[in-house]
Amino acid sequence: MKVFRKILIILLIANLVRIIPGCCDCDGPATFFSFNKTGITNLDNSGIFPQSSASDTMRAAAVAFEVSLYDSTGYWYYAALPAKSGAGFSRATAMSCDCAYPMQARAHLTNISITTLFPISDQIAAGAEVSGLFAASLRGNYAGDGVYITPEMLCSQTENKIYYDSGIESFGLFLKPEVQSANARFVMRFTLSDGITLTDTTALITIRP
Amino acid sequence: MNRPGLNIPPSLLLILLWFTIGTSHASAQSVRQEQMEIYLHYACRETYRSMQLQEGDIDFLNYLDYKADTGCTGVVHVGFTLSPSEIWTFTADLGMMSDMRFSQMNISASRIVNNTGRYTSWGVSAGISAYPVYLNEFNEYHLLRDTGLMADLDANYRQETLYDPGLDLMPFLLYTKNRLSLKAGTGLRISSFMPFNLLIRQKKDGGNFRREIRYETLYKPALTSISTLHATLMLSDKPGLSVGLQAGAQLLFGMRSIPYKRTILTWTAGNRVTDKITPGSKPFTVTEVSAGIVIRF
Repeated sequence: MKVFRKILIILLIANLVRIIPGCCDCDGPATFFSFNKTGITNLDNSGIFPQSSASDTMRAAAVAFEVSLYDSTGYWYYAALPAKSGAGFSRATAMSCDCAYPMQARAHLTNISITTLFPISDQIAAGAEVSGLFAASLRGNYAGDGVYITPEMLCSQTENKIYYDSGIESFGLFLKPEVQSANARFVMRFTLSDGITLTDTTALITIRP
Repeated sequence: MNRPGLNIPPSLLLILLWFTIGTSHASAQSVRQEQMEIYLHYACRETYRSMQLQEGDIDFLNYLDYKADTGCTGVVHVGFTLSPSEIWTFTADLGMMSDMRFSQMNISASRIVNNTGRYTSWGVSAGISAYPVYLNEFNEYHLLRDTGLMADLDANYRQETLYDPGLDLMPFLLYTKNRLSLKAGTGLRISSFMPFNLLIRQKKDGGNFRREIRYETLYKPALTSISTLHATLMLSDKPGLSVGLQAGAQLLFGMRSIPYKRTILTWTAGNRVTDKITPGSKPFTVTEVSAGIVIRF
């Protein structure tokens, strides 16, 4: 009987010890990745807030795109991996450790250059550099909070930025002047701090008044 | 058995006895003079300022109780009055509007200076007071003017409580006979509307254009006149607990305006224009009529 009680005490102590390191350790080191791929989708910004759109038709005053910069090797899948645990000694936690996975880009965005392939108005001809005619907004701020930010501010906020769960820099670009042509299309160049430039072209947009 | 704890010298006992008798005698005197009241009133408050033309910049005072369903704003007052003597009276009054929270507190002290007759006397009252009023649907200014835009992206009912704290000084006349007392006074009040911030976010319908208008109102002290009339009729004049009815009326009049700083952000936060705007002062009145019960003890 005494042996049984001793075993119970030892088991109790062992379980109590599990609680001591039982807090989720979410302060893991950031995993580095590289922006080497771009994706551009159309935005429908005719309403209160922008929404992704499969249509290639936009209102003349609401030409907008969503840009994503990411790592083609898919580092964001790291977030789905199970957390490593000590062999033979699992921690006791009240709930599963839902830690966000920190990621950091090796090179951040330094410049956005946009060239129009169609004339926007009589003053803005095809081939013109029009990045100054765009305003930007971070994807998390699409719900209509406040005004836009400049592309320069957008670039500066990517410096030393920690991305949680997905190494994707996603933002919207909104053309300020009304397009007077029947079509619109833009070539976008994204320069990174390591000198690499990523280039992508928007879909051919049909403008409706 | 020696019990040193109870070994009190006779002289100390005499001093304690004298002190106890003296204190009880003093409190018996003060009970006779001291008077407390608790009252509960329902008041109807009407705030008025003539509507100004909205040709230029917004004038927030145009939206005082704007589009309110009732003719006046209901206010429930709960108050406590302490009169330590016939000369001094201290009053603390809490006011609650339809938001069901005490948003108003008036504190005053009044002193009888002189008796002018058998039943009449005059005195001076001083205190701090606040008269909150509602500003309703001030976004209508933008909804009407800023056509072609979604003029206010905030779809909620826009209402702001406007506080007007101030200091008042008021000579008064008091008439007391049997169970009836009347108090009438008129004086001056200096007050300023408490500053508040408002944000209007706009977007072009079918376009990318965005704009943000930020309003920050500013202090502007103003001198107003304050006049009051209070009547109390006690239903019984027995010593101890007694109940009575009260009625009151109050009028504030002054020339008021709400100056403000307006910042317009167009497209981006860096593209901003700030102006300081001072609408013209116009007659402003707050009228309040109240009635309720009072418990005196």
